Amino acid sequence: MGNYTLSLASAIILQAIRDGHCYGFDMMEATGLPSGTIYPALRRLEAARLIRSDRDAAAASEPGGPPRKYFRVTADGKRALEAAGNRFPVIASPRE
Amino acid sequence: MCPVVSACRFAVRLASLLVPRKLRDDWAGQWTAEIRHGYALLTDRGESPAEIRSKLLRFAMGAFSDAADLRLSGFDLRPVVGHPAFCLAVPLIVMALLLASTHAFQNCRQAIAGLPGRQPEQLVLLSRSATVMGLEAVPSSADLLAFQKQWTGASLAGFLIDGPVLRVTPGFYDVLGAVPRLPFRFLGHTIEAVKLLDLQPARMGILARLRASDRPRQTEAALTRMTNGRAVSLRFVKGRMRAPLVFAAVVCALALGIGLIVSRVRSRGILFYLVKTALAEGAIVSAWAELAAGLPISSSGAGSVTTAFLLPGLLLAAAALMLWWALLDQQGRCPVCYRFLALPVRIGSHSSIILDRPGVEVLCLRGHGSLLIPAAGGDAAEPPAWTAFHESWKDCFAQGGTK
Repeated sequence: MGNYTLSLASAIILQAIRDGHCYGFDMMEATGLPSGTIYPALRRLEAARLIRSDRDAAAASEPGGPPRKYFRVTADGKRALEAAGNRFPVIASPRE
Repeated sequence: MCPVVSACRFAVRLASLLVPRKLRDDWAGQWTAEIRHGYALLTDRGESPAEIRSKLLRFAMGAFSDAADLRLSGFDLRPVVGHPAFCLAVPLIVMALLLASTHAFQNCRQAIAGLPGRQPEQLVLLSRSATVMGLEAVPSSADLLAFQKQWTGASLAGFLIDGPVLRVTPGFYDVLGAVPRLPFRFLGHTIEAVKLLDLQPARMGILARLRASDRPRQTEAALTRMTNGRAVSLRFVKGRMRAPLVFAAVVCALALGIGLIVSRVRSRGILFYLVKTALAEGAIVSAWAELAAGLPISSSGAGSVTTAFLLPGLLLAAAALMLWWALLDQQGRCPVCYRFLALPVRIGSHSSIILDRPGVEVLCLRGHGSLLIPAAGGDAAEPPAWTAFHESWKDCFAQGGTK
């Protein structure tokens, strides 16, 4: 993970993914952040190995359409989220 | 297909033009899939068409921001910044911005033009000894008497600047040679009203009009002779900016000269060094002269000591900073193509300073050669050593050689 420090927006996005909002549109609905903030943040979180993305062919929006991309929090991401919880009290403690 | 989905897809297609080509299709596919999914989700949830339209369009608009981020995050500024034209263009852009924002150096032009009266070249401020900035100090009554005794043909008037009001002694307009229309500029101040001085103040500025037969150059020489050793001088209003500009020009010339000596610039790099440094110093001097010319002379014409020391100090510091930058910039460039050298590698050994001297080697990415910068602690006088590569080396460099 290195010394990656989460911004509040990134921490909220990471928390949304951990809570099961794995797709871009769902994250926008869950966090209230604009999509123009979410996608660049997802790219940076993935580059920092805090999340992992994959293609979900089963969840394609239409038959033969492009598969949707979903995201999962890695172990490093969970640790980063815990650390972010100390900095930002608004971030809830991880679900058990 | 629903019109709102089509509109969103169109927005995504448009935004995708910003995305690097190799990522474009995948990026657009991801956004399009989310838009379709969002439409299905919101419809199933039973939201109104207006809400669906609003949410989907808001989502799709984010594609522009995401595309711009993707484009800029992959954009490498180093080749642009490292290009020799860049450091020549920056001072020119600064000067163009100054030209536009200062109404073509309005303050300088006004300072050079002098006062709004007849034959402004005959107007002088009677003042105390000049500073390097050419700022004026108020004369004493003894100075005034001495001047009147030696310069019998001159007419005098006193003035005091009180904010936007100019308080003057009777006969001020005769000395000025005109009745300027309000508002007008006077020694850097905007004058909105002119009133007569009620009482003679202890200290006031003295404006004098010399005889019409006095030639400005000869008069200046005579005045200088007259004031030798008396700590009193006359400063021509029209030439108010002459001393500061001469000072600035001397500073620039010194910076160029010192730079040439210190940097040991190779013959090939001299022209580039001179043009780059002259442009950078020119931009500094332009900004400084406009600032200096815009500063009003306070109340009765006296110059502020703080200003007199601060402004030359500011120019010297800025000129020195520019010189330091120019030298560092020159040292970090290839002497053939003048682009930045890159890929620093630590070489040599501190235990063998004769056969394997320690230092940092940087490379020209176009294959022109390498520069060895000796490590600190060795021979301090040892200059960086340039090693030119043979033509055949250029094939090893990916950036297209010198062609």
